[in-house]
Amino acid sequence: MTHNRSLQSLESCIASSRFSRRGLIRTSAAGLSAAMLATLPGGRLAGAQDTGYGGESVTLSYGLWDAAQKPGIDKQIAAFNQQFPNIKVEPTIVPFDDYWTKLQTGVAGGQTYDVFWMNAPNLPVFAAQSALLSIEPIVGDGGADPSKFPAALVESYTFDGTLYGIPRDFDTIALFYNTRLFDAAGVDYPTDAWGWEDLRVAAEKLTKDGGPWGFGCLISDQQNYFNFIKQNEGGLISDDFTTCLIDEPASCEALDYLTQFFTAGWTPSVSIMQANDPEQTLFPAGQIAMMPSGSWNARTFGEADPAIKVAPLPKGKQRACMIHGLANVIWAKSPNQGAALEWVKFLAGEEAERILGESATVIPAMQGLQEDWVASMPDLDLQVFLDAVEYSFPLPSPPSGPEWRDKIEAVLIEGWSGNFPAEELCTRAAAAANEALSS
Amino acid sequence: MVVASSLAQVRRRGRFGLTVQARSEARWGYFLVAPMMIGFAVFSLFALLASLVLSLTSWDVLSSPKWVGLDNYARLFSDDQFRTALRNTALITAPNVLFRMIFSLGLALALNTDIRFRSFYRVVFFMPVITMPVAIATIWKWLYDPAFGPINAFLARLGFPRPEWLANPGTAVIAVVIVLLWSGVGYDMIIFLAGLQSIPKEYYEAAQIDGAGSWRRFRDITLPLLTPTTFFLMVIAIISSLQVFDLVFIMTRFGAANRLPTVVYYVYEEGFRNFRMGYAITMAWALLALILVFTLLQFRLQRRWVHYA
Repeated sequence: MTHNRSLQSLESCIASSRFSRRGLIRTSAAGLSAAMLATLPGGRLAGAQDTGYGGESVTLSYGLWDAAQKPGIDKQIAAFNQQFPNIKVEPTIVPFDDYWTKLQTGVAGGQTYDVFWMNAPNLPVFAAQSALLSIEPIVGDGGADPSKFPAALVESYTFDGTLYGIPRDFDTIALFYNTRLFDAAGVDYPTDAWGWEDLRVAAEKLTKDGGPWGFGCLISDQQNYFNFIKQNEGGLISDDFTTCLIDEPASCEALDYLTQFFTAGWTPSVSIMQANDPEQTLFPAGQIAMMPSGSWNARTFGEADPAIKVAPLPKGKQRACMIHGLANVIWAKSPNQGAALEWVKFLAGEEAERILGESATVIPAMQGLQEDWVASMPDLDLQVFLDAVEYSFPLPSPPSGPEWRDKIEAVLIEGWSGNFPAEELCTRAAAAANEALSS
Repeated sequence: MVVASSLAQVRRRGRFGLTVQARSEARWGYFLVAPMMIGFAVFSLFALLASLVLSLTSWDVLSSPKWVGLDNYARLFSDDQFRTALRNTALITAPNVLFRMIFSLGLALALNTDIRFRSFYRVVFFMPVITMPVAIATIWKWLYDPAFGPINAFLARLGFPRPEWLANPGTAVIAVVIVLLWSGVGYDMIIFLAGLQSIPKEYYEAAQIDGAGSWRRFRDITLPLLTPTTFFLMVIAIISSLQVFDLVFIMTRFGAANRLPTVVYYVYEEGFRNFRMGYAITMAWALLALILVFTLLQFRLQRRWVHYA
C-alpha cells in the first residue's frame, strides 16, 4: 500500500503545478518541455541510437564527488563493460567543496572529465558557456526515456530547450534522530504529527550542557533552513530569479525560529560545527539527538549507529522539504563523445538505475525503482523520503549560478555566531544575495 | 685542427672588445642558461604579462574576457571585503613579524650556548619548518577545537572560559599568529645562529678585557653585528606574512564564510570560487605593489640601522 502511495505521489508531484512551479520558469510550461522531449528535432526519435561509437578502445574519465557511492558506481561500470568491453571508465572522486573549482578550471583549461556529475544550480552556469554536450542523440526508442523520470528534475537539466542530462537520483530531506539519546532523556520519538513547537520542546529536553545537543541546526540551505522557510510559506527567490525573497516576513520568521536554537544552546554552536562536521562526526557519534538531513546520508548514519532512525520533518504552516537530483552530463569538448554518450545512455537505463537503488546510497530517479532503495536499508523507515516527494520544492537554480546561496550562508554563519544582532539576519542575507544576483 | 686554429685566434679582439674565447664562453653561457630562461619566459614572464592584461578585463574563466579598462582597479578602492582582507592581513603581519624576530633571536641565543642536548633542541625547533603547512593547520585546528580540543580542556581545568578560537576574527588572529610563529620561528633561529657564529670571538674577548658586562656585550656587539641578518629575516618575514593563505584557508574557513579572510584568500575566493578572474588578478597585482612598497621602504630605512661589519 505505502509503496503504491509513494509511486502515486511521485506521479502526482510530477503533474502538480506546485512541485514544478519554480523549475519550469525558464520555459513556458511543463507540457511544452515534455512535448519537446518526446519529439526531438531532426526526426531522431526512431532508432536514434547513433552515438558515433564504433567499438574502439577508449578510456573515459568520470568525475563525481561522493565517495560513499563508489561501490555502486563500480558495479555500474562492471555491468556497462558487459556490453562495451572496450570502454574503460575511470571514476575520479573530488570532494564537493573543491569539485566545482576543479571542474570550472578544467573546462577553462581544456582538460576535464569526459562525463561528470552535475547539479541543478550549476547546470545553467555550464550550459550557458557551451561546456556541455546535448544528449538528445541518445533520447528515443531503446535509448534514454525522459518520461520515466520526474519532470521537474528533467526540466532542471534542460537549458534553452536543449536537454543536457537525465537525472540519475533524487534526494529529499527528513529528520534523523538517535533513539539512545531520546531514551536517555525520556523524550518520545519524533512522529509525522510533529510541529515546530514539538521540535523545540524536545530539543530543549534533549540538550545537556557541553553536549550532547538536542538539535543539529546545520549550516545548509538544502538540508536545513530552506525547508523551514518553505514550511512557513516564506519565499526564497522571485520567479524571474532577480530578487532574493528571504527578507519576506514569513521567511524571517522561519530564520528566527532557527536562531533560537543557537541562542538557547540547543544546537552545537557555529564554532563547534566549524571544528566538527555535524554530518561526518557529531551526529553519527551520538553528540546530536536529532538533525534534518538528506536521503543520501541515510546509509552513512544507519551504518554508524543502529540507534539512528528517521522521521518526516516537523510540520510548519504546511509540510515542505527541498528536492534535488543529480544528472550525468558530457563535456562538450570530450574527445570520446561517442563512448561518453553510450555511458550516459547506459546510466539513464533501467539496469544502471536498479544497481544504484540496490547500492543503498541515493534514491534512483527512474520511476518504479525507488522500492529497491527503500528495501536496501530495512532498519530505517526510508519510505519517509519518498512520501516527502509529494510536498517537496525544487532547489531554485538561477542562471547566475549558486553564488547567491553562498552569500546567504556566509551571512547566517556570522549571524548565528552572534556577530551582529539577530533581527538583522534576513535583511542582511537578502541584501548579500541580491548583490550576487545582480552582478 | 679546429682547436689549434681557435687558439691561434685567441688574442684577436672581436666585437665588444671580447676575445674569441670569451665570446665562445659567452655563447656557451647563454646556451647553458637557455633552458631555465626559456622556462622562465614561457611559464613566468608570459603569465605575468598576460595577467596584467587580464586585470583589465572581466573574465569568468569559461567565456572569453571582456575589456573593462581600469574598472577592476577602481573597484579595489570601494570594496569593503578587500579592505577587510587588507586589515586582517595587517593584523596578522604586524605581531607575526615582531614576535618572530624576538622569539627566534632568543632561541638562537639560548641554543648558541653550551647547553646539553643542543642539537636535539635545534632539531625540535626546526621540525615545524619542514612540516607541510596543510598538516600543521589541520592539527592545530583540532587543538583549537572549542568543545573537544586539548587547549580548551586545559583552559577549562584552570578555570578559564573556553574561547571559540577560530569562530571570530579577534581570537582567530591570535590563533593564526601562534601557529605562524610556531611554524616559522625555527627557520629564523637557524639563520640567527649562523649570524651569531660568524661574529668573531675576539670582539667579545676584547670587550671583556675592557670590563664590558654581558648585557653591554650583547647590546654593543651582538645586536649591531646581527643587524644584516635581522634585516634579511624581516624582509622575508613581511613578504611571507603578507601572502599568508594556507593556514587561514584551512583553519578559519567554514562553509561559504571565512572568519579571517586575508588578501590572498580573497584572491582565491574571487578567482576560483566566484570566477571573477579579472578582479582576482587585479588584487594580486595590488598585493605585489604593496609588497614592493614595503620592501623598498625597508631598503631605504636600512641605512639608518643596519650595520655591515
